[in-house]
Amino acid sequence: MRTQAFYADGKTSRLTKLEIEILPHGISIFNFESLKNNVLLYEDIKQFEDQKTQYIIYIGDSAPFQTITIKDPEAKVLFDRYTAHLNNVNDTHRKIEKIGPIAYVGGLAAVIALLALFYLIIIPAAKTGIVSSIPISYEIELGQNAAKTIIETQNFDSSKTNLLNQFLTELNLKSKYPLHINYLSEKTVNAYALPGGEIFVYQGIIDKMDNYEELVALIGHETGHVTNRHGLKNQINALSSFIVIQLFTGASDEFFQSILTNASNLRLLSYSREAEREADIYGFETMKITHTDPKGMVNLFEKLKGDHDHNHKVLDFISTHPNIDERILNAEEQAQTVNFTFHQNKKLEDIFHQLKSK
Amino acid sequence: MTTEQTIIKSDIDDRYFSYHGSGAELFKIFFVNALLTAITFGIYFPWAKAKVLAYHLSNLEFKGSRFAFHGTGKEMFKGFIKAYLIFIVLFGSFFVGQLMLQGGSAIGLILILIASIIQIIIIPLAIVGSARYRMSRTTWRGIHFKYTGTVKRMAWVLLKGFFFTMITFGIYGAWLMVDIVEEILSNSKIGDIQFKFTGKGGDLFWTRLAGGFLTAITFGIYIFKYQSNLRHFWLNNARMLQGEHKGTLQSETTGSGMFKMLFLNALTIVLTLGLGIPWALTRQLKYFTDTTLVKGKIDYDNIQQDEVDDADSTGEGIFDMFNIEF
Repeated sequence: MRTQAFYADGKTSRLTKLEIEILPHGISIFNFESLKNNVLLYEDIKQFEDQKTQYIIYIGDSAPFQTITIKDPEAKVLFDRYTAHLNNVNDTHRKIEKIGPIAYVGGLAAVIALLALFYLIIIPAAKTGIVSSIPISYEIELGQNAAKTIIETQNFDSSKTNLLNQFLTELNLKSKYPLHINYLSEKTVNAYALPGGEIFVYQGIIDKMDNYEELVALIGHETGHVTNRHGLKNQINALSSFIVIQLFTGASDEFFQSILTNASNLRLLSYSREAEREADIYGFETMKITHTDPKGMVNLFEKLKGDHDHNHKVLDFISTHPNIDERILNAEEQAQTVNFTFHQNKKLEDIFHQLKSK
Repeated sequence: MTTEQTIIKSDIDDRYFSYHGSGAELFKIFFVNALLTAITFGIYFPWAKAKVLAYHLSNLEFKGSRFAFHGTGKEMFKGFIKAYLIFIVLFGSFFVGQLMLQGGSAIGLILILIASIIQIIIIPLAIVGSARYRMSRTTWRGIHFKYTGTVKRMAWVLLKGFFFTMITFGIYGAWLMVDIVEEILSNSKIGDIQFKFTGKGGDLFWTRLAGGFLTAITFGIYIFKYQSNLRHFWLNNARMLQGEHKGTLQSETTGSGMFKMLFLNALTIVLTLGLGIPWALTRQLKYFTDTTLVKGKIDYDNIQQDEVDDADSTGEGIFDMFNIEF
């Protein structure tokens, strides 16, 4: 089958019309003098570009190349068939495409397996190693430095802070960390713990509370974060995610990087939910040890739920905390099943009322 | 009557550019690139980059013929290794120089001085190297592009520009950008066609000032028109010279066209959590090529090949180390 093609000689951009025929071993070229025997062997093709509507064949030992452009779809099919076995086209993508869907699936499986190896075995092992090798004294120093900055930049109240720490002393919690609570006069309904024992409680959350049992629940929960070294683990998690993303995506590949970043953010979220669960359990232990009414924890969650529903109408599964209804259920269940002996602690109640009074 | 017909005819002829890439194909390339890069812990990256560059260029059509990229992953990998060695030598010199200086040796000072000079020229070196490499490997109908600028000139443009930008609190930034583009374009050619840039820093400054102001008072709505104006500035000031003949580009982007393209792209990317990036990218490239007209009297069927540049890809590698897309 004879067809038309366009030739450029590599010296100018002029296109010359050619008559060609696609043969099993090469392209026969008519009305053209500068090729020996008028046949261009497939082995001599330097590079070719498949562009859906046309093929460009580059000929010559080094640049500048001569080019032949074929636009006839039927000629393309023949050309494809005759050149399928050739190795002079060094294109991994083409090779993978030839293997078929199994190559894509296999490749994806290999990457997932590699990621699993990192996330399930290498990172947890490294994390345990790193966390246990970091001395508590370093964690304390880290937390105290961060605490200084927070105190300087936010509305810190020293007299309420004193009351909170009297409350803490009265609770007499055993911890290898020097626990210390800071009071911030801000409307935010929140509390958090830094590595090493510095805990921050906002006025907003105290305003929500009606009795001291709820404060015990909160302090217990935050102490849980401190004792389980969640802050440190969080840092290591974020760092390990960063390293894995860099390792898997090379220098810069925004496509793959954005996918892995999304996935790793979800992983970090699920990790923090796990941490919240651990802290809740610790909080409950605290209630038990200090003989505090476990209803305190249930009440605290109920109040946070009201606030939560009010502020966050967003999808809950993507928030950092476990579903609050689930936490309430857990707390109620614990309160009923665990053998509690609790009594009213007058001293704690007094301090709590002082804290509440303006 | 005749004039009218000629105008209509030339308007059709002006649409020389078109982009034929598809989101699905580009997705497949990105996907395979991602897998291979992950499995090889990043070593495949230069090959991935070559593949993407080749895909975009081979889908860019001008007067019925496609562009082509002849660069290879192997070349770019070598460039990356060279850039890596340069960095090791650079930081090594700083480190050793400092140690020697502490030990009281004057050679340390010389080492630090040399390293400092390399550090200053490394950005212009990368820009010039990358431009030379990419252009030398890009062809249309077999005719090669070529970059003829020097590191010295580029270093001067950047040093002068950074200095004035600093002392004018950023105002000179517009002039700096124009100077960089002018330095690159007026040293670029394809065959015997020489490129030029005639834009003025002052025009860019006012375009940006007016654009920023109008965007602010229209609560952001004007930003699309502003983006379109910026594109007009860069394209409409580009010139091509072939002997006595002149050619110009003309951007036909509009505020509403920009809005449609950017809005759809943002939606595509957000709703697919990033998986839609290839579709967004091809939509943008299609819009930009469809709105680029070519005017003038240049004979594109008679471009003469110039001597082909044999540049290596070290500059490309330096950019990769900085994680910058040029």
